[in-house]
Amino acid sequence: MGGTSLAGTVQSFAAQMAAFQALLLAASAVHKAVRWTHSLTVMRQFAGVPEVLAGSSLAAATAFELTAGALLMLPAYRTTGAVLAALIWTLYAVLIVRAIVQGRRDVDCGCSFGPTSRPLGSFQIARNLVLAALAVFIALVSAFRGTVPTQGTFLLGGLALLALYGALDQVMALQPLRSGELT
Amino acid sequence: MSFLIASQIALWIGLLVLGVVCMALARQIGVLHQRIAPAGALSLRQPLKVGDPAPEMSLTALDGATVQIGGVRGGRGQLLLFLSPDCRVCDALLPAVRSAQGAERQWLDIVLASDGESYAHAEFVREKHLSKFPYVVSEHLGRSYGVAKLPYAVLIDEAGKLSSTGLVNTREHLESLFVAKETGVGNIQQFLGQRGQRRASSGE
Repeated sequence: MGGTSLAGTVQSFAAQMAAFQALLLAASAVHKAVRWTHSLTVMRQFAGVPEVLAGSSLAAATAFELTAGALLMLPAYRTTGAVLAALIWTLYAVLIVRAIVQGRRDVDCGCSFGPTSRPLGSFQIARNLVLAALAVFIALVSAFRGTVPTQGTFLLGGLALLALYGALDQVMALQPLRSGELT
Repeated sequence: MSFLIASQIALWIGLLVLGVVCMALARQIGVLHQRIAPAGALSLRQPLKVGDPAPEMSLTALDGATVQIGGVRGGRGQLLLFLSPDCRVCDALLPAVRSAQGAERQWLDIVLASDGESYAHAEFVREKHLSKFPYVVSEHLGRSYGVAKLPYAVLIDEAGKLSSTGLVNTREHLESLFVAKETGVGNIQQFLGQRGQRRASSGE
């Protein structure tokens, strides 16, 4: 652990969050690789990438996610990994905002691990902004307060947080109730 | 390994299990949503078809106000809900009707309709606090829209055309009329027929 001082606690917390983000990025990259054809459709319809560039863009996005995840796990490169992760989450948030502004709320953003009945909205934007803010926090702590090695408990905690993230993802993928349903 | 580390590991494992269980439950709900047949309002055999112009008439409500039924009414939709004071299912549906009035107020006006003696309906309105709804008593209205069983609802779109109709026993049935309008599917039979065709064509 990073020690019992406040600085050590903050370092340990940042390392814990880094492990979670690394696992999330790895899961996202694996999801893209496993559902390659579907992800190509997402690239074209959601991100607006031309047909000829869809394959290379998807490969680049997958590689960026894997690289950011790997760097986050290495204390010496955690700042770089966190900056890369923050850019990735921000880019996804911008694409979601663009789709909403263009009135394409029903397009599949590929940002859920399963099928979703919910159109794009504030939840997806807020989720990505929270992830981006968390990545910025990791980058700042790593750059100015130093880093601690990724330990077994951090990985275990990262897995638990990933499971909670998956649960929230599934809950928010459910068909939304009509407003006034519970009154 | 200190007690603190051991308890931290135990807590993380507990949280991991909890997360997986929540994920599985939420996924199961999603699967159930997809598998069960939609709870739609059952459309009965009636003289009017979806897409037909709704019969227009001007009626006097219990409070003396004039209520325009059908036609183009300033770009607003209209839901005619046929009920009766002695219908228990209608009673149970009233909270959903109040809820729908709030949720769909941007585009929809709800009119309650029935037939019989006016004094019984006035008492019903007082008892159930329905004074904020226009309430018309007209046998002619029910006959025009082919109402045979209660509670029955008719949704008229902004252009004055029949959008969806059906027997509405529950909140899901009532809301299915709005979904039917949004999706362009007239009733539950039509939806199930289209789904059967889609499955047949995709070889499911």
